[in-house]
Amino acid sequence: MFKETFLLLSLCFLLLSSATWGQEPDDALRFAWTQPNGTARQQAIGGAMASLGGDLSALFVNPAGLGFYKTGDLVLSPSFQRKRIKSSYLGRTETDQRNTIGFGTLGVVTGTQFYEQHLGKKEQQKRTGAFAIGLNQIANFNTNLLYRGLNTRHSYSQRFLEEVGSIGDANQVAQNFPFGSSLAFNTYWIDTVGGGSSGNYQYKTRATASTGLLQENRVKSRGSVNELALGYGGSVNDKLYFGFTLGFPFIFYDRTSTFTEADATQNLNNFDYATIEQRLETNGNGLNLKAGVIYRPAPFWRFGFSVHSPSWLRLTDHYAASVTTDTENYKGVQTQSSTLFTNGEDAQFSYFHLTPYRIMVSGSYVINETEDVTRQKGFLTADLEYVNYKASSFRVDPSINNNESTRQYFKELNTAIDNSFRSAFNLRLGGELKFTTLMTRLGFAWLGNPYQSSYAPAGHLMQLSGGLGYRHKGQFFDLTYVHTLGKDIHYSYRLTQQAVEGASLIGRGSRILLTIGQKF
Amino acid sequence: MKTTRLLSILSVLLLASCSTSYKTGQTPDDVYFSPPRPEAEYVRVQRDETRRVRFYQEDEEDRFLRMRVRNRNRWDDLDDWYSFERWSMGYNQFFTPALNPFMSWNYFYNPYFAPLAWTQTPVKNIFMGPRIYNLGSYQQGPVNIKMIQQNTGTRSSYVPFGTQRNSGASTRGNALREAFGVSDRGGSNGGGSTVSPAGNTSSSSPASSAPVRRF
Repeated sequence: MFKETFLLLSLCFLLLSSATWGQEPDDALRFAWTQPNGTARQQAIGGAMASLGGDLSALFVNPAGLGFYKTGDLVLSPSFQRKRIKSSYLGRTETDQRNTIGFGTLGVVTGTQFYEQHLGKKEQQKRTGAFAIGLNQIANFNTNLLYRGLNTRHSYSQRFLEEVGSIGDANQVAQNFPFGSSLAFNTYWIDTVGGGSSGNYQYKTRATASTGLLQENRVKSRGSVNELALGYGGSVNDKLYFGFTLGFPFIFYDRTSTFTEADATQNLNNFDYATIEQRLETNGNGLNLKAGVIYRPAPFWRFGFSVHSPSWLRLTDHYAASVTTDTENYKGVQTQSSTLFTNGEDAQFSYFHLTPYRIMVSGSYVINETEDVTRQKGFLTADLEYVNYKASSFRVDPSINNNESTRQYFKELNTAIDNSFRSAFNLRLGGELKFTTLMTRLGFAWLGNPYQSSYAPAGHLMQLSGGLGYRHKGQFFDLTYVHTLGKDIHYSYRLTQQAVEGASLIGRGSRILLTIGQKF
Repeated sequence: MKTTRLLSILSVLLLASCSTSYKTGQTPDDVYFSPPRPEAEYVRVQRDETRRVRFYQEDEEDRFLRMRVRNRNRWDDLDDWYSFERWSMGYNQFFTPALNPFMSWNYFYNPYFAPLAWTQTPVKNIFMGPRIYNLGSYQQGPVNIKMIQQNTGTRSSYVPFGTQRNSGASTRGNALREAFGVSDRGGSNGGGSTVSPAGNTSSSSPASSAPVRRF
């Protein structure tokens, strides 16, 4: 009876109170600052496809590019990826890596040409129409991250103290923060200051930063965002191309982060180490729309404009946390999991998330747009993309949780997103040289800094790519190597009363992408 | 990963099963120029064959209708009565014979009737709330790391003093200190001589599940 009452009371408190670890602005960036995959040909030219057309990856960039098709393509693009992250935290450098098998664009497009005559006009309009269905990997989350450092300024446990510092009732501290502070309190990572009385307690940490804390953070992320898309593209008189795509993104994200801080000395001082392990699984799917036009004012030249609507996603989080603390001779090794407070199950929450909209402008110069492939010599293309990362937002699903405190939290979260991120420009450019059946390609992409300077130092992503292609007897094979260089920052915790150091990350990635295609 | 493999296998099968009309001649490159599809001879023949099949089917129906018009009762047996909703639960169920075993009034005695099962799944008392973060901490700007490294982090403060813990025991703390090269400092196992209230050396005791504290 006591147990049931306790669980019921705990759940009531949980709904009213806050936890330490949670939905944060970084969650928004995860689904927005991505490097979409594509066909090997498109990836070799830096991912530029907003004005070029004639490739299935146009379905995910500018669907007007489908309007170039009067034939059909069946495309498959397996890929292999290696991500290596070198992290520097408080003067110490660590490296971790992860290999994964994935896929780029796969699908089918079929186009046809027809003529249309309007009333009162003698001349027929030459038109095309193409349908496409495809699948593409928009983001790949498979990474291992590790960083360590010696911290003499602050402890992870200070975030718990900031959260519970004003609560005099220690029973509330022990129960109402099951994903952080309560676990830390019940395992004695944080404790009451001696001499406190009921309703008037103060708290302290057992992890003393002044004598040095060895900190380690391991983050294992898995999952991806894949998008199934249906698109239509058409053209009028080989001058104006238009198209739209209906996209159905589906998300799976799984992360386990284990943060440990240990006493840097060998002294028995009632604190050896403390570890907090946090698990998060996010699943969901949604909907988006892409539309675009390409205009050919003169032979060789193409100009494109494309708009991507925000992806309207409904996501569900499953999450849990556990803390283990070794206070040596004081209380020994104690461990506690959030599932003690959540009826033995992981906590769960469903909500809506809107990713930022995107606008692209592009230009291409195609040398010899002629049927005779021996006279096709190559092209140059460049895309400029505008992304407003501030436009990301979270919304409450009223059917799940519509109480005032949750809505207020989401409002504050969206304000924090506005204050943390900014709009950025992404540049993609590339070119191809064609020798009848053989092709060589080079590309470059730059993803601009999404962070406000008040949030984090600059982050960016750079992509260098090169590839080969072969097209003969109705089949084509494209092989691409993409080298990625990125700079980012990762915070294992943040404090209100003190600025903390993030780990500087330098990411290096290698991706090999093969596209096998058949014309029909 | 399983999805990726499945997709790959399906795609390869699909690709392998396709035929192309561009085995001879040049293979079009739609990025440069997309020519209209070649109208293959077999396409036209196939259309004719399709028309012929439809013609036969139409013939059969027409012939049956003509026979029914001539003598309704004689050819009635050939009609496909059971394709209509006459005996089912459709629009004309009002006229369905009362002894129809599929009707609802006698379902209790009907061995074929399977009433909709109302199984109540156990309701789990899951905590459903957002992950809440201390958003106030986002107002703190990034720190100048170089300056901090100059001002702090001197290793002289880590010289052991007093009683030392057992550095040989395998705990997360010792593993981390080993990674930093701190564990061999002093080389003492003095911690082993200090007994915790539970009677174990503090650094090697197994973790016990902590209860919720009460005040």
